Amino acid sequence: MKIIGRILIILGVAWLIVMGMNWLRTENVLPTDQFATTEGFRERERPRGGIREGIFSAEGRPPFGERDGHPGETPSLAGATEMVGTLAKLGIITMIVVAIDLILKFFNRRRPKPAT
Amino acid sequence: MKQNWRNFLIDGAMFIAFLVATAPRFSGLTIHEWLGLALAATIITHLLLHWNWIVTVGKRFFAKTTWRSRLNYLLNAILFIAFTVTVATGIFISREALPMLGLTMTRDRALEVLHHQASDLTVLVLGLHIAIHWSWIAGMIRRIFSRRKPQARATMTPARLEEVNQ
Repeated sequence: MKIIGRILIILGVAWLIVMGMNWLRTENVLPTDQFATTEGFRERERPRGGIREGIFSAEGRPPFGERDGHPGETPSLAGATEMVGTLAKLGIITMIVVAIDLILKFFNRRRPKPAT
Repeated sequence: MKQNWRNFLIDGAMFIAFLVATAPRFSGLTIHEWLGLALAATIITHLLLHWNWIVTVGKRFFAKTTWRSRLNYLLNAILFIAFTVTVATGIFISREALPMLGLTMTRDRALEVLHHQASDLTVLVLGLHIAIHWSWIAGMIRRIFSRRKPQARATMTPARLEEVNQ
């Protein structure tokens, strides 16, 4: 019972976050530019005069929403670089913070304690 | 002790799953989406396992506690928000998992951009989260290697005894 209650609290907080995000999105306060908004996206993809080539649809290809496949739909070993990239990013951030922490600890240890 | 190993295994599995989930071109879109949903369930488990810490530091946040705990709490809150937004936008723009359940959403470019931004923020804050817990992670890894050595010795001892007996 306790666990169910806790799960409900977590899901409730998550739900509030999602509602908040959606509200921010509808108010256009999120840092997604005008180019990314649905209306702008549709307008650029399908202007009133017909399909505009070269913006979201490359020459000879159907517009984004009507394509049969998406680049990420099939697994490929070539995409492993993305994973390595994330690992590198995480490693670099961790190393920098751990190094700063070690330096701070080193200087705190060397600093003489004030006499009481 | 057992609790430490359980946490280490769950967190390690989550870390690997997160790495795979951040590379949809590597895993394919179907695995990317289902892995993201599974990761959301694992995050709930992770939070349940650390519930006492969340409640204790949450109560002491504005009262008596260390700045390290406060910073850790804030980082975890940001990480939770970023991950929730990533999962929620991922569900909204889903092309494989949701249609499989009979649900379809209208395409929204803003949600796609938001999904990428939130996932970038998650990577950044996750790096800080790992850094804060680095001493524990390093300690656990050290324990794995220090455990192996006596085991190797123990497996060698009966063989040596046999040699001596012969």
